[in-house]
Amino acid sequence: MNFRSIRPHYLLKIDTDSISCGPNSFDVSIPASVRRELEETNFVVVRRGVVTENWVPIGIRGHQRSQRWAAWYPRYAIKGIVKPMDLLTQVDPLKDREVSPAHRAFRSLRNAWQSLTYPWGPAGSLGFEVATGKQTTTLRSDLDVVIYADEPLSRRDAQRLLAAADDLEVTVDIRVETPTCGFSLTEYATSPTKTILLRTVDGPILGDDPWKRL
Amino acid sequence: MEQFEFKYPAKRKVLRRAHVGVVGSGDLEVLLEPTEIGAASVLVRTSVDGFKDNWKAVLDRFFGQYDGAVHIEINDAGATPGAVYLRLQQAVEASES
Repeated sequence: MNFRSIRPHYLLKIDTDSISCGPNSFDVSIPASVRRELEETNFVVVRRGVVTENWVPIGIRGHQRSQRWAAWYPRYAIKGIVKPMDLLTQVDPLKDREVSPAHRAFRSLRNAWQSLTYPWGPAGSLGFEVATGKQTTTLRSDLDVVIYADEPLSRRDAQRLLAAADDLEVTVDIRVETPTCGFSLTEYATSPTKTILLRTVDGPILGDDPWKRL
Repeated sequence: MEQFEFKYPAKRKVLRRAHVGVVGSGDLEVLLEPTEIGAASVLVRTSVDGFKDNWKAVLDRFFGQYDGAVHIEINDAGATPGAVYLRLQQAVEASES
């Protein structure tokens, strides 16, 4: 497995004892309630950052949408990798549970995007829920999806994808990941300015070509 | 959800309004509108509570460089200070092009 094979939004099945929080210990850095939940699911999300030979930058989910704890995980201790595209066909009602609006919206989007050839799938709370089997979406959850576009996607195609996602039950946040950065499909398709915000491993920049080597 | 307003001196007339960015996790939208010369105002609405000082620091830095007479509205969904600064620059670029 080369370095580029682990990308932002992938979910890693992990062993909490192997997590590194830098100079502080895991117990000091992460609140106890978050640790307990993590020990239930043992899944973390790959965050944007430099993936090295030994370490992967990860984010640990908190109770609220805005809460994320940044940490590192040793590559050798990864127990499994779940990609958003692996979850594409798994988003179906969980047994004995209420289906959240984000769930229904995802299934509508999957129909609308049947002809999309780039790898894509659910991210955020829905992706986490489908991967772990633990109810994570709520009635108010937005839908997060990610498209991995290694080859350039034209603005015209982006506009078509966006138009097909127009009529969903919840707000959808569509992130596109290229080999060099991540950006918002909505912004790329609709921005009046030539430049858009590109999220790179060195932080956000303004640029007009998300596929240009940095 | 929190909301705050900041004011800054402004000397220069701005040509046109601008709307940049999107409200998505870790991102923000910025709406910029020309106003009368004298004062600039910024209304911040953010989904993440407890960062008023950080907002003030970013906006102080921005208005240390920028003297346009504008009213700016920011709708934030947890963007980093770096992303906020870039969005402000992008809005200014759009209002002057």
